[in-house]
Amino acid sequence: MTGTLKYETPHSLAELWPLLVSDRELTGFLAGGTDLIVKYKRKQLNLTRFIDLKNIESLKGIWLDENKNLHIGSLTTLTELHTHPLIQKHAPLLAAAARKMASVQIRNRATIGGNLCNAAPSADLAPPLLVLDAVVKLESDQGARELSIKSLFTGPGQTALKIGEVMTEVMVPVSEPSDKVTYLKQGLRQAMDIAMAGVAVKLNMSGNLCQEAAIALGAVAPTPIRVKAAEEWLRGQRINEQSIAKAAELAKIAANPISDVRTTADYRSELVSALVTKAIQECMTQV
Amino acid sequence: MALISFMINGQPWKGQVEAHETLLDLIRDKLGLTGTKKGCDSGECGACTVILNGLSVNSCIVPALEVEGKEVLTIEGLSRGEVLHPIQEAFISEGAVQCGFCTPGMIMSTKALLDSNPHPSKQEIRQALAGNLCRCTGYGRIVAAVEKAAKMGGDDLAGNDSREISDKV
Ligand SMILES: Cc1cc2nc3c(=O)[nH]c(=O)nc-3n(C[C@H](O)[C@H](O)[C@H](O)COP(=O)(O)OP(=O)(O)OC[C@H]3O[C@@H](n4cnc5c(N)ncnc54)[C@H](O)[C@@H]3O)c2cc1C
Ligand code: FES
Ligand code: FES
Repeated sequence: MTGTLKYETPHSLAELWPLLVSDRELTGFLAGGTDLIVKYKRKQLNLTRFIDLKNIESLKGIWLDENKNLHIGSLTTLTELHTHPLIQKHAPLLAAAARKMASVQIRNRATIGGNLCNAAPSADLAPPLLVLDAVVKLESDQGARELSIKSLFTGPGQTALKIGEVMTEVMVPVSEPSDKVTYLKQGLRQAMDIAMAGVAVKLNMSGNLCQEAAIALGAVAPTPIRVKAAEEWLRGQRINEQSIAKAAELAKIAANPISDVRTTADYRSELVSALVTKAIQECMTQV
Repeated sequence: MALISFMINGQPWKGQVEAHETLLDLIRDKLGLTGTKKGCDSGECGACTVILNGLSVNSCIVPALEVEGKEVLTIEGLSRGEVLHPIQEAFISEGAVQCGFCTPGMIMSTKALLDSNPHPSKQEIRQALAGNLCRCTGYGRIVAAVEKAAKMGGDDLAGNDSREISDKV
């Protein structure tokens, strides 16, 4: 890394806000740094200052409220996500997705807030959080607001965060043991790979009849997306080969993939349909 | 520029650090501990793996300023004088080293693994080392070395350090 760079370490949000009166556009919030530092080193960012968020205790911790919402501090690392008993119990989908990401070394640093704010179309936590109907809490010196995760992503690398706004928390309604959930990710290798496509599915069944379905896709559109058409189709259906095939087809139509270094748009389309099929089948094997 | 102090391999270090400096550059260039390698310099290869407050990290993407008040363990901190760590012994005896560039990182990842899971399965070993690339040996011997290290009691959990502790070295 080169250049003149300032580095600040506020110990609370109260200490953070005054730092943001100037140079807000040239400031990078530093969480785990696994996206930020890599981009900065590649000179993809024009920044004069890092503000390290990691000393702000209120951005840490995982707890359950009386309304059965799991509160996950934005600084929670991927390692914490896949090992924390509350996440394993109440949001197993999230724990499983975190485990499929990157390497041990990266998971020890990378945070949930960083994954969402970096807003890569391939961000692995996005599809699971989309099907879980997560809500993110954003704060600035103007106060706090809550935003459905569906409204968070506005484009590749783009979010609804205003300049100077910090993500403080991710709130996830607890999963019931009867919820059938899965996240499938296809990369070139099993480990350490950015997804060519990712699919999260959540089903609520009554017998063989689907009561509710949520399906989200990653890496196959400018942002991670929910597939409403496929969800509506599945609602009230018996889950069998035909209904799964139709859902997979609808998901494929909803995807809008590009070709890039990892693979082609056509292959991504095929992946969506294959992964949606497999994900629903996997859900159905869960008791 | 800021003054930081932290523990490196059990010794205190204090000095000036730039905001843009990485932990990797600090330990190699300012501390002269060149056992930790720079491969990709972007979090992909694991050659720069060190243990920061008990967790393995890619030192090439950790800002040096962040280690203020923390503890860092590098490959140089594993042996006790002339007495090698069991993980190092296992890598040597299994022939898990060719050019050796990936080895310090492999060994630090292995240490982090064994300290949290002293008896890992093959699959767990492979997953634990997924962030460490080797361009020479293939991974078979490396996995065998980790299995051997585990058998030798290569974790440093309380009461399970197989090295002789000697004040003389
Ligand atoms: C080798 C390697 C492998 C990877 N593998 C994967 C993978 O498998 N799947 C995957 O999805 N990603 C992967 N990544 C990308 C990255 O690790 C993740 O996106 C990670 O979760 C980012 O979190 P972070 O804490 O490191 O973010 P940072 O790099 O610290 O921040 C990322 C961005 O978010 C902003 N930001 C961070 N926290 C906040 C906050 N609380 N409020 C407002 N803005 C904030 C930062 O300013 C920055 O713009 C990989 C990266 C590397 C280097
Ligand atoms: S040099 Fe740090 S991961 Fe490659
Ligand atoms: S021994 Fe040469 S890179 Fe691993």
